[in-house]
Amino acid sequence: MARYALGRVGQALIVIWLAYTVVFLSVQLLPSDPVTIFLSADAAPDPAVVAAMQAQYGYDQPLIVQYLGQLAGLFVGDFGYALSAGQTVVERIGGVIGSTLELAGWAFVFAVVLSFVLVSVASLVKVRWVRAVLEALPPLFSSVPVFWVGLIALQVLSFQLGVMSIFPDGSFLSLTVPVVLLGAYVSAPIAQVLFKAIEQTYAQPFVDVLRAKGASETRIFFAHILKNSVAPAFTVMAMAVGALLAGSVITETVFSRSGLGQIVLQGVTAQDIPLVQGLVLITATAFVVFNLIVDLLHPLLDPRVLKAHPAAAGRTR
Amino acid sequence: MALGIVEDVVAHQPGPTAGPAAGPHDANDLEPARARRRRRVDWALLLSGLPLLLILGFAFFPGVFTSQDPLNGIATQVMQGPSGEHWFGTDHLGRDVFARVVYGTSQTFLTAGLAVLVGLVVGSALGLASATLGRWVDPVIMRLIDVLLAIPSFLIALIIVTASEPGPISLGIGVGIGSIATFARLTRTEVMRIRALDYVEAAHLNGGNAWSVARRHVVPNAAGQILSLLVVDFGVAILAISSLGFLGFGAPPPTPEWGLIIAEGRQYLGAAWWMTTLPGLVIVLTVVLLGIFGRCVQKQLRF
Amino acid sequence: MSKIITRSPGSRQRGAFTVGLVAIALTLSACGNGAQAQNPTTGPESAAASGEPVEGGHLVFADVVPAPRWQTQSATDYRQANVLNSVLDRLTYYDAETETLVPWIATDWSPNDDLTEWTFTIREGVTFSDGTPLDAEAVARNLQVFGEGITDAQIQPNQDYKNFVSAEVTGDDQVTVTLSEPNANFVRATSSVTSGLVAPSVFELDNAGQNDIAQVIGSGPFTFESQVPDQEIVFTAREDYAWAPETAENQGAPYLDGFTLRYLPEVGHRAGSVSTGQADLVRGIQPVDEATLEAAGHSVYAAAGTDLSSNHMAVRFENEEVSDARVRQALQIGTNREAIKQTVLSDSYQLSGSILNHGAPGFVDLSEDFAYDPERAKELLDEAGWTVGSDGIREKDGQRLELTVSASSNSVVIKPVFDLMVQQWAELGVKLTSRAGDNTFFLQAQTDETVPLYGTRAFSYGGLGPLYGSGGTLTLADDPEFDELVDRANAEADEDARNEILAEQQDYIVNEQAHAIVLWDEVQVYGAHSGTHVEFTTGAAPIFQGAWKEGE
Repeated sequence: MARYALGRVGQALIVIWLAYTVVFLSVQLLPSDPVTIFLSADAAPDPAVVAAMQAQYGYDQPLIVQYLGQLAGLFVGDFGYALSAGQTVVERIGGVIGSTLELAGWAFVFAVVLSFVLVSVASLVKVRWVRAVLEALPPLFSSVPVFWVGLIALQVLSFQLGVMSIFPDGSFLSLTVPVVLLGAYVSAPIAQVLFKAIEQTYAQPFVDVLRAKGASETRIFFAHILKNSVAPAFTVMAMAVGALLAGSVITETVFSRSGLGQIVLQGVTAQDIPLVQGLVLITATAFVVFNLIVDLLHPLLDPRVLKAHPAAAGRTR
Repeated sequence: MALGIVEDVVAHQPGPTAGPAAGPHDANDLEPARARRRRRVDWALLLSGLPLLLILGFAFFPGVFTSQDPLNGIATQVMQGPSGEHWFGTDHLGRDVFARVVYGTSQTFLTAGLAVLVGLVVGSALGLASATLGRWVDPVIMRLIDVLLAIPSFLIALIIVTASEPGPISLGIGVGIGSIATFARLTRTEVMRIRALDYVEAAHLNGGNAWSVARRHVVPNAAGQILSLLVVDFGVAILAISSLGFLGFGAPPPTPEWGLIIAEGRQYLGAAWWMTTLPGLVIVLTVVLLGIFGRCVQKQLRF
Repeated sequence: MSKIITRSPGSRQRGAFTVGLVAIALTLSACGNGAQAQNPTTGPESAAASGEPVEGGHLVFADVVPAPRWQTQSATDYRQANVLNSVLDRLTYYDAETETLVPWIATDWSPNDDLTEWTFTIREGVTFSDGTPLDAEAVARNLQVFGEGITDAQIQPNQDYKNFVSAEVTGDDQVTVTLSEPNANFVRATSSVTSGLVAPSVFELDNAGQNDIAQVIGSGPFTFESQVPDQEIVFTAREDYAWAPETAENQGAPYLDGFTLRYLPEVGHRAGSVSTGQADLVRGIQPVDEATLEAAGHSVYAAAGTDLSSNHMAVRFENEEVSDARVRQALQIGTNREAIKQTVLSDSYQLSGSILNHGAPGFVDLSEDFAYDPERAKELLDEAGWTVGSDGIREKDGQRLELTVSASSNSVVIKPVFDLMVQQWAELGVKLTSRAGDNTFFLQAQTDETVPLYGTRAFSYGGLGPLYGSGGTLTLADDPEFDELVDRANAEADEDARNEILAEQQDYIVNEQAHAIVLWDEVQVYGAHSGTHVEFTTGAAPIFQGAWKEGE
C-alpha cells in the first residue's frame, strides 16, 4: 500500500509539471507579448523602455532560459511577477483566491448535498412520476448555460424583486445565488453517476437476501445500497474540480465577484505569462490532489478495487 | 467542459456488472422489463429526435423556416417584443431574433461539430492505442490524459481562441481539446471491456489477427457507447462555445452564432428580455434534447 | 416597485431565500411581466433638487471595469481618470463654462517670448495627505517625471510633454519648465488627469508600488481607505482640503464623507442599479435606458468629453486597402450618421462636426463637407479602382475591400454603432468586420499597424499631434505634412492665428486625408439615483468634491 501511494504521488507530481510545461509552451502562441501590451496601455511604447522592461523581467531571454528560470523560481517560492497587475503572482492570486474558494467550496458542498438528496428521495419514493422528475433534473442542470440563468436571476432578484444586491456585498443572497447556480451545474454528473451506481447495486443478489430477511427499504438504502454505491461518485467529485473552476470564471463574471475568474481573463487578455502559469499550477495541483485522495481512499471505500487490481488500483485502471 | 459526461466512470467499475439489467425494483423478471424498456426508449428517441431533426433543418435550410433577414435590420422596428411577425422579437438594430437563431444554427453546429470531431478523432485514437499497444504506452498515454484533465479545458480554449482569430475553426479546436480526455478514457475502457468478453477472446484463439478481431468485434461493439457520447458532447460543446461568446471570445459579428446572439442581447435584458431569454431557451432545449437522445442511442445500441 | 433594496440583508435571510428560489423557478414569467413594471411613472421629483448642498453621506459610484494600475501617467483611461480626478490635484483646471484654464495648484503661469519656457507660481499652504508640503520642489519633481519618465521603474514619459528639457525651481514658489521647441499649448497638458501631482516619495517606489492605489499619495479632496481587489475601493474625504480649482463652487472640504468605487461590467445591470439605489452614480448608461431612468425620477447626465477627440475610427492608412485617400473619403461620406443616431444613440449624443468636439478650443464645424452621400462615395471607390465583385464586395487586383475594426468594450454604444456601420458599408461594397468588444484584439490593435481601423476617442491635451502626427498613437504611421501643421500651431503665440492652423489640422484629418472617420462627440452618460447631485469635468469625470446627496 505504501509503495502504491508513493507511486501515485510521484505520478501526480509529473502530471503537474507536464501541465505547467504545456501551458508555458501554449502561452507562447499568443500574438503579442506582456511588456508591449503593458506599455501600450499608456502611450505609444518607447522602444528603449520596452527593451529595459523586457530585460528587467527576463522576457528578452531565450525561451528555454525563461522556462528553466521560472521552474527554478518555483522551488524557492518565487512564482514571478504579474506585470498586468503590478503585483507578484502570489500577491495577485492570494488577494482574490479566498473569494473563489468561498464560492467554489460552498458550491461543491451544495452540489454533493443536492446529489445525495435527489438520489435518496428518488430511490425511496415509490411514486413513479416523482422518480422520473428527480432523475430528469441532473441532465437539465447540466444543459443550462450558467451565465444565462445568472443574468436572468440577477435581473429578477435584484431589480424586479429588489431582494438581492447587484454587488457582492457579503449578504446572504449575494453568496447563495451564485453558489446555488454553480452548485446545481456541478451536481449534475455527481447525481447522474450516483443514480446509475445505485441502480446497479440494487440489481445485486444481496439486496434480495436483505429483503427476504425483512429489512426495511429505508434501512436497505442507507445501510447497504448507498454505502456500496458512493465509490464512483467520489471519482466524479474529484473530476468536478476543473468544472468548478470554469464555472467559477463564468459565475464570478456574471455576479461581478472578485476571484480567479478575473485573473484567468486578465492573464490571457494581457498575455501575462507568469500569472497564467501560477493559475495553472493551482488548478492542476487541486485537481491532482483531489484525485489522489480519491485514489487512495478508493480501496477503503471499495475493497474490490485492491483485489481486482492489486498492483495499481485507481481511477485510470 | 468534460462535465456532464459520466458514462465512462461507471462503465469501468469493477465487480459484478449489472449490464443492461433493469431498474432496481424489477430485477426478477428480466425479459418483460427489457421489452418494456425498448418500447419506452422508442418514444423518448422519437420525442427527442424529431425536434432535433427540425433544428438540424435550421442549419441546412434556414430559408424554409423564416423569411426574415438575419443580418440587415429594419431601422423602424428596433427592439420590438415577440409577435406573430417576429416570433422572438427584434434586436437593437431591428433584426428578427428568430431569423438570427435559425441562421445561426449552422455556424453553431459547425463549430460544435468540429469540437466533437477533434475530441473523437484524437481521443479515440489515444484510447485505442492505450488499450491495444504495449505495456509502456498505456501508462504514458494515461498520464497525458491526466495532464489534459489537470489543465482547465476552459483555459486551453481561451488561449487557442486568443492566439488565432476567433471563428468557427479556432473555437471548435479550442473547445474540442477539452473533450479529448473523455473520449480517450471511454474508448480505452470500452475496448478493454470488449476484449475481455469470452467470444472475442475465442476469436483471438481461433487464429484471428489483432486487426481483424478489432475490426469485426471491438469497433462495432464500442461504437454504441462512443456514438452516444458523441451526441451528448455535441450539446456540451454548444454550451462551452456560448460561454466563450459570453466572455467576449466568440465569433465576430454579424455572424449570427447562438452564443453571440445571447451575448449581444444580454446588454438589453432589462429593456428587451426576449433578445437573450428566447435564444437561451433554444440552447437549453437543444442541449437537453441531445442529452436525452444520446442516452437513448446508448441504450438502443448496447448489447 | 420603486422602493426596492437597501434593507439589511441579514434581517430577512429566510424569507429572502425562499423568495429567491421561487423567483428562479418563475424566472421566465417574472421576466415577461417585469419588463413593463420596471418603469413606473412616478413623475420627476424636483422639490428637493433646488436645495443647498447637504453635508455628509457616502456615495457609491459604479464604474465599468476595475483599473489594473494607478500610476499618474497611466490615467489615460476613464477608469483611472474618473477616480484620480478626486485624489490628485493638478496645476491647472479647464473650466467648462468659461472654456479657459483656471488656477488650481498653480496660481499663475506664463511663457517666455519664444514659448520655450513656462513658469508656474505654486499655491501656498497645500499639503499631501501624508502631511508633506506640495511646494515648488515637489511640483518640479513631478514635472520632471512627466517629461522624462522613470526608466528604473518602467514609467514612460507623458506623451503630452514632448520636447521636455527640464523643470527647475526658480524662486520660492516658482517652477520653470524648459522645452526644446516652442509649444503654445504646453500649459494645457498640466490640466490633464495624467498630470496629477503625487508626493515625491511615491516616485521612489518600484513600478508595482507606484501603481498601487493604496500607496498613491496625493493632495486631492479624497484619500484611499481600503479595497477588495477587483470589487471595490473606498475613499474618505480630507477634512482639511481647501485648495479647489478657482472656479469650483465648493472651495472647502467635500460635502460627502467619502465614496466607494464599484464595478458594473454588465451594461444591462447599470440602469437597474441606479433605479434601485444600489449605486448612487453609474457610468455607461445605454441609450435605451435613459428615458426609463428619467421617467422614474432619476437623473441622466450626459457628461461631454471636451478634452477628448470625437469618437471615430482612426485609419491606419499605410494598409493597402485604405492607402488611397479617395477610399477613406468614400468611407467618410458613405457613413450615415443620422441613421446611427436614430437607431442606436439618443439625444445625449451629438454627431461629430470634426475630429474635435463642438466645445473644444479651436473647433471648426466641417459637417457640411462630409454629409452623407452614398452615391458620391461609390463614385470615389470606382475612381480608386475598386470595382464591385460578384458577391457585392469591391475588388481591386484580386484583393477584396475587407476591413476590420477594433474597439474596446468599455463604451456602451461603440459596438452597436459599428454593427450598424457593417450594414451601411455593405451597401457601398465594403465588407467591414467589427471586433468591437474583443479586448484581447483591442490590446493587440493598439500597436499593430496592420489592423486597418481602430475605433476610439482619445484625450488630446497635447493637441492632435500626439494622436495623428508621426509617432502618434492612433494611425501608427509617419505623417510629416501633419507634423508641420502641428509645429506651426505650437509656435504660434497669437490665439486667433493658432486657431486658424488648428482649423487646417482638422480639415486635413477629416476631409483632405480622411485619416479619421468621425462619428459622434465624446460623451459619457451617467445615471444618478434621485437626490444625488454631481457635476463633471471636461474630461467627463465626476467631481466628487462638489457632489452631495439629499438627506433621507
